[in-house]
Amino acid sequence: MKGFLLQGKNLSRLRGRLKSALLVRIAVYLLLVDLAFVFAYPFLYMMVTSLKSPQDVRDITVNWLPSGLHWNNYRLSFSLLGYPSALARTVLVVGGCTLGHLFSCSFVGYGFARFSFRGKSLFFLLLLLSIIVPVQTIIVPEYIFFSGAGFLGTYLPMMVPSWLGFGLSGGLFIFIFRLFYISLPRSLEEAAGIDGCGAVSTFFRIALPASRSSVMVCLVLSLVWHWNDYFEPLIYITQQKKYLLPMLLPGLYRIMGGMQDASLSGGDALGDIYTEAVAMAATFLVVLPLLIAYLFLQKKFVQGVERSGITGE
Amino acid sequence: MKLSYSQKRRWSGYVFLLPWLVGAAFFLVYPFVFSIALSVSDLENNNFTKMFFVGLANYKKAFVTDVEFVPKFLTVVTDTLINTPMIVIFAFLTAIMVSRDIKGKGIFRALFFLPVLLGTGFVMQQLQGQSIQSGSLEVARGILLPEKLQAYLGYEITGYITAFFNRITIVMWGSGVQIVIMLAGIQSIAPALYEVARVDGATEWEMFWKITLPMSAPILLLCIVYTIAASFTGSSQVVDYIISLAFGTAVPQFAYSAAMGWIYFLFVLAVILLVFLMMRRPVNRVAQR
Repeated sequence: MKGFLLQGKNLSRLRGRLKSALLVRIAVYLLLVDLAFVFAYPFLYMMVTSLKSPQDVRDITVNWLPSGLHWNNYRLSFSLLGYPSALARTVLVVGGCTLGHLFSCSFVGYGFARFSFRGKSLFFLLLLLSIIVPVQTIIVPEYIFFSGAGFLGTYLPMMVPSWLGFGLSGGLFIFIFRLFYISLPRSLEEAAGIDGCGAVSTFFRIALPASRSSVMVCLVLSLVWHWNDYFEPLIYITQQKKYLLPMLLPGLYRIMGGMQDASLSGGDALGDIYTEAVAMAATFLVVLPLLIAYLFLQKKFVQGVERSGITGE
Repeated sequence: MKLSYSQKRRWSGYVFLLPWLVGAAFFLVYPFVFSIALSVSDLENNNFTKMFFVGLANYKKAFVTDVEFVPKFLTVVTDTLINTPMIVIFAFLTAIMVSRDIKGKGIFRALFFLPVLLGTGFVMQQLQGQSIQSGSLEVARGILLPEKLQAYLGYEITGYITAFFNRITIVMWGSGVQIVIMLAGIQSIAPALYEVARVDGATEWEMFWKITLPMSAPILLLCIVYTIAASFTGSSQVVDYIISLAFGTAVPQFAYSAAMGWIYFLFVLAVILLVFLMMRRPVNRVAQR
């Protein structure tokens, strides 16, 4: 049997296998790099465009390399957005909503996972329904409800649902937490129960700290979705001075585009300063806090996804 | 009063569900009932206290009278029917690639999530708007198809190819969340299964079809449902139309808007139920393991 593997036919077969494995590996890398470019494209496009001077914007030969770094766009968009105060508002509202989601969805998810009670299957059906029902189907009654409650013009229509397990994808987060708690061994919680710990304090002391991975997943998704949402806020908030950052963008794009076109036809001199590039710079400023947060959370987030038990193990 | 252990557990369940039940009453059941009522009525001067029952007139209007609704509806349906399988397959294959033990997989994983950061936001809509204006996305033009080749192939064929790449690009940008979820699913498949298969002489190709694919059935179901729901509930022509009739006009048509919302929702529900039925057997097989 000595050297069985490395003789004659076996040896060449092994070589062939190694070679094809190498080829597969190279192909995978090429494909991944190609894909990475497509995925990074929106960001690259945004960053390059935001640094273009007005001349560059009009010059179609300037594609990826602006003639210089035109930081003025950022100065303009900074003041157009009213960045510091708008940022503070957005952080407060989005932070409040995300915190609400984490609290309510883990709490309710635990209830669905651990207890049996009358009506549970009906409630679970309603939960599934809340995931797939389009906001648009129920937005009119919601609007009437919030206007009756005197919430219009405040941030409460975004905040209140998220603290009650609804709002943007609240149902999905409950679902994720539920799957995680189902897969979590009960022994620790039972031990706490025997020691006289009530169900609610068992949840806060044992189950919630154990679910850090699911918390990470829901934290990132909820943060991103709330930060980018401008559909619902635009319906409930009409005063411009209360606008959140992403809500300011559509108007900005319209105005910038208009000025750019006006100056192209030789009319307005303002278009020599305000162009699409300014709007792009504004967009970058809007997503920048999100980017920074993601950089910090990224590693834990990917790990969290791998351990969150969304897989129903 | 003393409660037995099981009674206590039952009441605890209600305690945990309490916030959600309050939310469900206000943000699910009430809007549902209200909008059903709205969709079968007519409003006098948009006064919600003066609702008249008109039966299915609003529904009929959507299909018979309104020339805009049906074409928009069909566009969204075909888009979803084409995009959903593409997104799911693409995300699955990408997740398999980055689940392998390769260098820099962390960077790739982070990159694939980037469009999600912008996904629901305004930049992506701008970029996707490009494709509607100029017929193709810049990223799909030139890079994937050199100009010389375009000239050689002729206008018509180039048009099809760019349209194809356009769709692929949009599909890729829309699959960040799915890639992350699939990655989690693939990595949770027990390594022992692969080891056993390898000992029995299975090739990578066989292991994909016999282990990776069937074991991923539950996660595939989750991704398909998520993709369909996201594609229908996200900004689309129908959704924008419904919203504009309720909020964007001087004379809001709340009742008609509600009826269209219901047609839309019932369709989504039917599609998702169909998916559940189709996926029931493979999913159960994994669950019974």
